[in-house]
Parts: sequence; C-alpha cells; structure tokens
Amino acid sequence: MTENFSDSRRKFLGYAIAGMGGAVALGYAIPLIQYLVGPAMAPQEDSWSLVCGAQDVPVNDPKSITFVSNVKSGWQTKRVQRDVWVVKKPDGSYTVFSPVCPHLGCAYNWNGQERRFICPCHGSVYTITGKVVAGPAPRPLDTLPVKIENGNIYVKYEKFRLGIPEKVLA
Amino acid sequence: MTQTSKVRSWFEERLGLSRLMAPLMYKPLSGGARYQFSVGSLNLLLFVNQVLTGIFLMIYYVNSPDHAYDAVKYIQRQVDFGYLVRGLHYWGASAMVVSVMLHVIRVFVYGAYKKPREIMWVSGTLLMLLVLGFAFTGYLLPWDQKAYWATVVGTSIPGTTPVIGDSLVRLIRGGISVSNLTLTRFFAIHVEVLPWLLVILAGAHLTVLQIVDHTPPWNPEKAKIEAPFYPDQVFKDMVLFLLVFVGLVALANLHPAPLGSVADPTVKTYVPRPEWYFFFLFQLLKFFQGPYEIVGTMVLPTLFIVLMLLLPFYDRNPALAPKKRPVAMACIGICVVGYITLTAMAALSGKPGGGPSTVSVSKGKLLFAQLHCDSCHSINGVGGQVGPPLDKEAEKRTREWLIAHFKDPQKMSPGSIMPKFNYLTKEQLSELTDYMQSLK
Repeated sequence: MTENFSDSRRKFLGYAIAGMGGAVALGYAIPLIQYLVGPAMAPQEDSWSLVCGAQDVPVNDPKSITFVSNVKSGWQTKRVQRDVWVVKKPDGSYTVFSPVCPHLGCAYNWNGQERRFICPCHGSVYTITGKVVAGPAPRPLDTLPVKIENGNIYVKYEKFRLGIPEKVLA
Repeated sequence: MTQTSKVRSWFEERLGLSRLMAPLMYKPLSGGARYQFSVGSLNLLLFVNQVLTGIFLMIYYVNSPDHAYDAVKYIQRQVDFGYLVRGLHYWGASAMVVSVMLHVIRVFVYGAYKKPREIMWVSGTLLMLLVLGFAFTGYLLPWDQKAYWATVVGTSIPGTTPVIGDSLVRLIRGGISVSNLTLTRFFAIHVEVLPWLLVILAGAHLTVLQIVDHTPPWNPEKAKIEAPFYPDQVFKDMVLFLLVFVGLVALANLHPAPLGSVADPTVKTYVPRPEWYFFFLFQLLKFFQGPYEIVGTMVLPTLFIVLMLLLPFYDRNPALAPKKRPVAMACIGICVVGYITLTAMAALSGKPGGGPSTVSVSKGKLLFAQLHCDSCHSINGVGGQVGPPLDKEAEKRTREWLIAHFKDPQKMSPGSIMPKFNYLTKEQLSELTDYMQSLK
C-alpha cells in the first residue's frame, strides 16, 4: 500500500524543506562571513609606546625619532619599529606627526633652512604645524595621539587612509 | 517557461541529475517516514557541521604549543562570532557522540545488523570509533590544562599493554611525553586522517544502504506502509536538524565552550577529567587497580569493540522483533544502563574540590621564584644544595607544619639557617604551601 500523496502536500513539504534548509544555511552563513571579515577589517592596534624623554626635543626644532611599538596582530603581539616626527611648541606642548605623507605614503623630511616639511616624491610642502602650503597633498600632516607621563613622551601610532581630504583610520 | 525552469532544463539536458537522483530520492521507504530514521541523517549533517566549523577554526588556529592557546583564546574572545563557531564545533562533537550512540541503539533494536546488512553494521561500528577518535584528538588542540592533562592520562592508557606498551605510548605521543610533537600529530590526525577515513567509510556505508535498503519495522503491518525518501523523510530529517542546530546555538551562547588556563606540565595538582563521553572509561579504570588495571584499560574496551564488530556473525537469530530476541535485548540493555551508570558515577563522584586550585599553585610557584628559594633548595634536581630538596621534603610534612616553618624555620627545625618569612601574608603562605604540596 502506498500512501496517497497529493501534489499540493508534496509541494508544501518541498517548500518547508527549502525554508528550513535556507534558515539553517543563513544561520551558518551570517556568523561565518562576519567571522572571516571582522578581523580582516579591524584597524591595526598599536599600544601606547615610549618615544623619548620630553627634554630630548628642543622647541620649534622637529625631531625624527625611531622607537619600538607593540602591535597587536590577531592573537600575537609583535614588536615593530616605528618612527614619528615630534615637535615641541613654544607653549611647551607637543605635536607628533605620522611620518607618512598623506598624499601617497612617502616618507617626508624636515628642511631646517626653509623650516618646512618637504615630501621628496611629489613635492608636497608643510609648515611646522603640518599645514599644506604647496604640492598635491589633500590634507595636513596626520597628528598622532600623544601624552606626557613622568617626563616622557608616549605615542599611540596609527595609520590613515591616503589621498583623501579627511583624516580616516586605515 | 520561466527563466529558472530554462536554466534548470539546460543543466538537466547536460547532466541529467534529476534522472540520476530520482531512484534515490523517490525510493519508497518501508515503514514510512520516521524520526527514528532521521538519526542516521543527523549523524551526516552533524559531520558537515564539524567540517564547516572546523575549517573556519583553522583559519585562526595555530598548531604549536607556543601559540595554540592564545589562538583559541583569540577565537573565543575577540573574533566576531568566534565563540559561536567554536561553540558549534565543541557542542557539535558532543551532539555527534550522542547521535551516533542513538543510531547504534536504533539499528541494534531494529535488528538492522543482520543478513544482508553485515557490512552496514561493520562500517557503522568503525565510523563510531572514528567519531571517538575525533573527540580524543580534538580535545588536546586548545592546549589548556584540561586538554593537556586529559591527553597525558588518555595516552598513558595504551602503556598498560604488555610488552609493546611503552613503544605504543611513544608512538601515539610522538615522544616520551605529551609535547609539541603530540600536538602536531594529533592535529594532523584530527584534520586530515580522520576526516578522509570518515568520508570514505561513510560513503561506503551509504552506498551499501542503497543496495541492501534500510530495515523495515518488525511489525508486518507497519512494514507495509511506504513513503518516498523525498520529501517525506527529508522533511523529518530537516526538522530534526533544525532543532539540533537551534539547540547547539543556544548551548554555544548559554554555556560557551570552556577554555581554562594555559597547559602547564609542571603543575601536578591538576585533576584531569575527560569529556563526559569518556567518563565510562574513566570510571571503569577506578574499579581495576594494580595488576588488574589492564582489564579496564585494554581488555574490556578491546573485547567490547571485537564483540560489536562481529555481532552479525555470531547472532544468527533471523528474527527482528525485540520480543523474539531476549538475549540481544538484555545485552543492549546492560550496555546502555552500564554506560549511563558509569557516566553518572564519574560525573557525581569525581567533582574536583578540596584540593588546591591551580591558580593558587601558580601564584605559589611565582612566589617561590620571587623569593629565590631555588638558590638554596632544589626541585627535581634543579636548584641549590644548601637546604633539602623540596620535591622530597613536602611529602613528609603536613600543611600546618609547612606554614609554621615558613614563619619561623628555627622553631620547627632547630639549627636551620633558613631566613624567616613571617612577613608574608596569610594568602601568600597558603599559596606557597599549595605549591610545595603540588610537588609531592
């Protein structure tokens, strides 16, 4: 004896199977995609790092300083060499610039005679405050978070998107 | 003709999948569609869950003792939905063990191992062993205390085998002790060897099923009912899997997969306990001590596996109805009750408690280093020779004596040149004592 299956019952079961299968598939797909994409899109995280003693930087004379920063990469913390430009202002406060030209990512330099930061790649020129005075740079030099503790300068190194007028974390 | 139908018929014309699959999909099942039959499909779907979540876990996992624990902690605590992916894998493993056991019981009760389904039964038994192999090898991978110590004990079991025991343990561990070499070989077995063996065996299991068909219900009236595999049985399979999936998601959220402290081979107070599905073996070993240990470790499990594999060849009773198979039913009853009883006994009796916590021991170990105790005392032969070796000394002393001795060594051991540590807090003295006692 074979059970009597109407076409509509068969269709209904077919749709129900597809519905349940689809729900389970979505239940897997949504978290799995986010699991894959999330860490890839997360910004790179540097810890606050000791750059130099506050007394090591003279007023109005930018210093390029290399230091070691602890960078979190997934489950691992790596020690990475970084460098920044530190400027001591006449009021005694400090500005720290990312060493990356916001135009296309070249390393720029301080020209003591002209008292300008000059990027050798495409000729962007910045004042000591980071303001663009010439060249194709779309925005001022990128400043980094800085704090002074026990007479030392600490910086949180960050990277920004290049070639756009806004300062946006990369 | 709609666009979808056009695409479908384009493929159909070239591949003929509908024609190929029709005999399988619409095959009538004697006994009709039943949830009991869904457990077999559930095994397969849970295996897919394990493979899928396992692949995603591997994206961030590192199979090295230096990084495995940090990688698993990263997955569990920082990666988006990492707790869920790991939770689905962890609880999926338990669900798979339960599902496989239920399937074995169902097949046994239906007499589905009898002629002509002997190959189904043998391949199924091997598949069950593979699932337990997955559970055992996967357990070590997070490299936390539980993983490490459960593997130390688990891999010691084959050591009770006469003559070849030691070599067997070395072969399994990749050396004399559980180490990085154990982790890499367990990882390779877990993600490469066992999955391929399972795919091959499950493929054979399902192919033979198409040839011999599933066993109809023993009641001839019920056996006359027929329903096609699709959509009737598939519908029930999907309902069951949807429920199990929801259950796994709930468990992953309500009881996240555990991750203890990182594996520390020097802590000797950790009480290792296996996962619940191996509790029966854990409990069985308590009954067989000394020269009889091998009965619990090797003889009974091996005998059980051999008896299971050979079942269709010595149970020649052709009857399927349980009423006509009293001996077989008694045997499965004893096995099920025995398994549940042993599991419950282990779960209730072995709860850790009373002993010092691993945190306390670790803090004591840190104090030991900070106070430079090792400049005068040795542990396992490493350290100074001025005072007595501590791994031997702690055995002789009570907890109270040790604490009193730390505070005033000259009072407890007249003539001792050990400085007084009476400035330590009560907690610090307790932690140092816990560490001393862990060295026994």
